[in-house]
Amino acid sequence: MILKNIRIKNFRSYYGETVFSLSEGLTLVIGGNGDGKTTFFEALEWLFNTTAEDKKESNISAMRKSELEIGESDEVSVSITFEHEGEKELEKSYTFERVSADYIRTKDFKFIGYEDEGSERLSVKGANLLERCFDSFIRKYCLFKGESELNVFNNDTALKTLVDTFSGIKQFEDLVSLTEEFEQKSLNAVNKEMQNDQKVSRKAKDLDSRLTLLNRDISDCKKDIATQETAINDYSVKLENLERYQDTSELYQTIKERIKALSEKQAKLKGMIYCDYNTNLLDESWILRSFPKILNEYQKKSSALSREKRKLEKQETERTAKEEGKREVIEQIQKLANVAVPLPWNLPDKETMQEMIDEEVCKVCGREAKKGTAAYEFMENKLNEYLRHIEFEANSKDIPVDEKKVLFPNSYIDELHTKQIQMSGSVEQEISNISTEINDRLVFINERKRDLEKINKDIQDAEDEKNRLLIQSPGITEDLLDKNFKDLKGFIETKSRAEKRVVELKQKLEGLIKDKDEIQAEFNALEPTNTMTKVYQRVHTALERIMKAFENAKEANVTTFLTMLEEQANRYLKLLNENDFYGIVRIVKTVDGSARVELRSENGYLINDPGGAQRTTMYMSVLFAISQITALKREQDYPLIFDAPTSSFEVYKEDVFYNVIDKIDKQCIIVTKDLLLSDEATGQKKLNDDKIQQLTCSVYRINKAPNYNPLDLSTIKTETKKIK
Amino acid sequence: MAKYLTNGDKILQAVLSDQRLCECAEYNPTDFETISDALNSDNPIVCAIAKIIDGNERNLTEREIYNEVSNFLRQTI
Repeated sequence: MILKNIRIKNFRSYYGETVFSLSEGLTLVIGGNGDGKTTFFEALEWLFNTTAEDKKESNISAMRKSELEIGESDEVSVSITFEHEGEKELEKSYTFERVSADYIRTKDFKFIGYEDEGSERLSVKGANLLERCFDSFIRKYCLFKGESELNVFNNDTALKTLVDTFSGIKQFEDLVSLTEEFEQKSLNAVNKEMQNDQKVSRKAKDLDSRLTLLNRDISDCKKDIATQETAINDYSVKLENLERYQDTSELYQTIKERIKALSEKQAKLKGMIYCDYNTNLLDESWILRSFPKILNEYQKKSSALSREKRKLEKQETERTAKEEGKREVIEQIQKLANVAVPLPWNLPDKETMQEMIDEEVCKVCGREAKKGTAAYEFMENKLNEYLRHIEFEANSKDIPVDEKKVLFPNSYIDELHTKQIQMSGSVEQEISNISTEINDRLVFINERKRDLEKINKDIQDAEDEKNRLLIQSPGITEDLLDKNFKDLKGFIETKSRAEKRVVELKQKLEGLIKDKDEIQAEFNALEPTNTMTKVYQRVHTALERIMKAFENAKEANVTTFLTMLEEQANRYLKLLNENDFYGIVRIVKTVDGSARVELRSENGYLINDPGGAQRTTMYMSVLFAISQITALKREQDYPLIFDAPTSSFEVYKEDVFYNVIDKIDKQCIIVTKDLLLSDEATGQKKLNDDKIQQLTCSVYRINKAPNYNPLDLSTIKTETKKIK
Repeated sequence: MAKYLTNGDKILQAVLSDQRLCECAEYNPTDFETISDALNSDNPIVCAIAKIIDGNERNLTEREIYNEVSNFLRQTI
């Protein structure tokens, strides 16, 4: 079966009809994340699925659905044209119709095949045509999603199915069991006859009893071997899984260690920034933290007050001095104007003065002082001066004469100044030290807080990285990664112990079988008198030989197939690893009847942990080998379709690998995101044109049509372009 | 034209090709291509093997096959 083209119509992101024309060698379908690679692969899976009439709405192109008016309809279809004893076509489809704004009905599921008969084109049942040209067995070895599916021996029945299919021999196991039963029955019959034979009865009983014991021991020993081999197999699978996820596990452990170290730092920093402010406030005198500032302000204010006081005192001194000076000048002038010394202001008294004015006589000098004269005016002025004095004294009699004269009667400013002096010097220095200490501590705490913020961010980043790693490793849990890593040593030791035990048990079994054979030979050598007993003996011997021949043939059948598969696989392994180390593929039969693919060095050394590309090419070699054996044995070929099989490949190997596959005589379709480069300016993915030019195969580029709304699925459609 | 071989024929060929059995039972494995060839053989071992495979293909019970084969062997060896 050679695929000629694939048509995908309105299947998820494939809006409208998209056609892929395929070459007979390799066709690469290159696209970035979300560009429709897996949809391409799943469209084929949907086409090849014959188990159900799957017409679910989720497979319909969201863009096409959104365009439909009520009552309008369209169809989803996937079809292939292929060459298999003439050109044939297979198409699976169903119709979808918009019934209401929020309801789409799907109907008319069809799975039809077309083939030419003479000049006529006949339509046949799709499932029948598919089964005829590309049967379910082959389909199992045709579609592979991701690297993890490449190991075809990942289920218990794989080897048996392959052996049955390719040797063309089925039911071998049933016949082996049947002949084992016959041998045992005939042995029982012989024993019975022997024990009834007069001549050999006693000896036969003895030998039978020993044989029974030996058979029991052999059975127990075989059970033990099976148990140990199962354990070895289990641990091999576990170790294989661990190796497969080693990179993930190592990365996980690195991240975990980083988180642990960061968490320790985080705890340390939290301890450093802890500060009991309430206690420190009084116990550690933190309350005085602002004291230097306050003291400074106090000093300034106290100095200002002191300065102001001195200034006011000086002004007062000047003022009083001036007044004193004035008074002395006035007195001097008065002295110069009137030699006689004037009477004090209170002499004569008010009544005498009023009497002298009224009588217009100066009774001090005894002369007349008529109204209008200078003497009369003098007396009037004298009376007025007297009255002013009286009034002034009446107004100021509450103020003590001494206090009125002192500008700063209290010593508050001086006290303030004294305090200032007391708090300066050593006290100030001591408190200043406390403040500096507190300040240093707070600076330290703030710096650690900043460190803590950074650590918290780093922890968050590491946690995010860990989660991304787990998301990118589907099927692996955190527990599994943890457990696997911790149990690695345990697994190896347990496996090693089981292997040693198997060797011991096998030696023991060999001894037991040898003993049994000897006893059996002794038994067979008994010469019974009864002729019929002799006949039973011969029948048993014949059936025993037949049983062994069946067992050997069954084993040889498996061995022949494995040898053939290994031979073919190694041929492809060499091709796939051109100019590189490739080793030798060994397919080892396991105790559970399945097989394990191993990579060994020429000297037989087991390569426990083949690198990603090595492992992939190893499994792919086996797939190519199965395909090749199918071609040889069944005279039919079939395509191999892979979804992202090379995700663990190093970049430099991709183009070389694809060219090798293209040259292998097998039709392959690989959907991949290899050979894409990131455009530094736009961040968009673009083809690595240099490498594409070096490819010999067909290449399709698929990508999302531009200007889509990342929040709206109905704006997404896959565009396809044939590059070469 | 190559003869079509059934599953039973292939099993027969595989079993008869056992070297030890060939020597003990003294037959030439290439003489027996099909079940039918083996059933017609004078060699009791070859014929017994054919009877086992044939009986299994004819869906006889285990007891039926055993009785047939053991009776045959009792009479022929």
